[in-house]
Amino acid sequence: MGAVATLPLTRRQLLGGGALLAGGWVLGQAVGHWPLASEASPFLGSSARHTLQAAFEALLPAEADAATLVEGVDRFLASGDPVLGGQLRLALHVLEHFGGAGPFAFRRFSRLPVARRAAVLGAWQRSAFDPKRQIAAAVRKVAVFTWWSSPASWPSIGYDGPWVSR
Amino acid sequence: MIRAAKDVPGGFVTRTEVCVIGSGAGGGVAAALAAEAGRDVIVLEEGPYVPKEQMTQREEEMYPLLYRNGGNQMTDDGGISVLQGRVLGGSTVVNMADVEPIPEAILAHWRAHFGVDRYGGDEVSEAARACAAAIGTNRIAPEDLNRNNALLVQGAEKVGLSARPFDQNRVGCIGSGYCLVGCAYDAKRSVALTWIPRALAKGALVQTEARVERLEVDGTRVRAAVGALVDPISQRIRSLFRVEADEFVLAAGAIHSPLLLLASGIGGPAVGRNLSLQPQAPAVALFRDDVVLYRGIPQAAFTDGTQTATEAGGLGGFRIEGISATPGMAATVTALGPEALAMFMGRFRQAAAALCLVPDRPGGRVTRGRYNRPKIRYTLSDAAHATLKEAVRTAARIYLAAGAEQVLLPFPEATPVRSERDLAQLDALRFRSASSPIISAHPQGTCRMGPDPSTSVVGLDLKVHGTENLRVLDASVFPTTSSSHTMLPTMTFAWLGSRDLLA
Repeated sequence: MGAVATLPLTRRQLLGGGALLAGGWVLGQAVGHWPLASEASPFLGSSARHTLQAAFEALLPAEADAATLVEGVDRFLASGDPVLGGQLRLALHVLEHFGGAGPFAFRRFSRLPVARRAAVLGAWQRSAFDPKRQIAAAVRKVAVFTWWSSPASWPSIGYDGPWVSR
Repeated sequence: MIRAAKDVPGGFVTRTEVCVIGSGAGGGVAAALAAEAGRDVIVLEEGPYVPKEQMTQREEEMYPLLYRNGGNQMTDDGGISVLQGRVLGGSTVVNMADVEPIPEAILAHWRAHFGVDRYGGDEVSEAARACAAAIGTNRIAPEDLNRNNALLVQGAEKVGLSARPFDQNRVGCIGSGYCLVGCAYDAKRSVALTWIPRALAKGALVQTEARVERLEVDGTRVRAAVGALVDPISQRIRSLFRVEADEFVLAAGAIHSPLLLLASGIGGPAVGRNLSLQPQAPAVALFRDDVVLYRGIPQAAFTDGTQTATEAGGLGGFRIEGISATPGMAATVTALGPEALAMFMGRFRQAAAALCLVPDRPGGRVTRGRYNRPKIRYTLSDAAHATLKEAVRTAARIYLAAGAEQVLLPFPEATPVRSERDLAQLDALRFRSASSPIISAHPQGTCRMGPDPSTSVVGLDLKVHGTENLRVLDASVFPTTSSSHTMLPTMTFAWLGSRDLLA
């Protein structure tokens, strides 16, 4: 009987411990990137901004200029409520590091093909796990509100815009 | 005088006779009546003053300016978007201008089950009439229904239900359709245009961008309201203030009134409990030709008779009410995936929409979260869940009867409904938090009135239990949901409470 046999651990506990360590590593990666605000990104930081752009590309029609829209969101967040902005930034970090994780592979969300990103967000929206649904809902809300409230989207839907300036 | 944070860069310390915290349906009434009675009044409003010239009808500009958290205030589980105005005039600036009194049966329900018997039916009716007149209440004419609301009425009649126009507080409406982002024409007679000017005319001071953080309490008396003058968008602190007063009126709404009591350590064990949200789920239909739901009076008609009001059970059943939305909000409140959403928005002009509203039983709770922000805990009860699904089913039937090509249900798993047969899928669908787009615009109940301090927060005179000079005059005092729309009920009880305060 070797030393391993004397360990008071079951196979299930060993697997659980491994999963915990892996989860901790991924969480550490996420937290390690936060905050990363820079001159080019006034609030979100380059990593979260990259993730948000990847989500916009997956959720919005092809004619939406995701980079420009995300730049506007970042500027708005910089002048807005830092608590709300911080929640979005955290949600984006979790999405980035857990959104591409599969049973046999790990890829960052932003490095997935566009169709796969859309599928991930759809799956999170329908997930049985509450935090996944919350993150998917938050990211979706930012994306669709930003695009459909922008005048660039209006011609394609026949919306003639505000009356006050007429 | 209306003063913003930038007008007092060094903050201020002052004393007054009546300090009113909040300027919405409750606070506005209290401020006007106190000032007209000759009292020295200061109103503290957390949001900015936004006159009609600043109402741009642009969603991305107005939601951050007019709404709490920019329209992103959510329940703790992300399940329900709790929309509240944070602006001079409160939610009456951004609501749909629906005027509904408290049904007599609800007053009887409160008397029988909660011991709320201080105000008789005649007194309540008189107060409601006075408040309704003050905001220019009138019935929407049938010919003023836009096509979205007319389809609701026609469809309802075809399935054997009746639907009728709302009473409203719009005067001279031109039908631009932007009620949710503030009226740029001053046609919606909000508190900022009715009660607040009355208070100002009698010398009241209105300090906007003033966030009250806590109340200083000495024994049974509240001494002062202390807080910070803040930037209206970022919430960053500019300076501090302290207002001492003889009497305090707390009218910060059903989420923030209990929060302030909790922060101040007063109110007893019931503070924050008994939250009702009146959850609302959207039902959206696509027609062959244009509906253009975003023009005209947005919320003008509702199903009459699907809601019940009884002495035994309070408000029950459901309502289906026409609704409009500008594109950003419309896209947000669907449960559609990217391709389906693009298809839907491509047919935005052919879309019709209604909100299915359920008067729920009290069951949620507001507690203090991080940064002294509210934590709104709420779970849709099985009964409310079943009623909400029944309301959605009825809305879909109404639209199909009105000739809709398809109805889109508020579930991400749902397929478009093209016939009654497709409605069978509803049996297997469930509303899940942060998955189905559910909203609330009528939070109530978190500072419940009643005779027992262990189960209520304010007494029958609307004074906080154990205090001599602090009254709560907003929707948080209602023992159960008061009405489908809370503006007039809130004004009514603010009127009655103010009368007691001034006696």
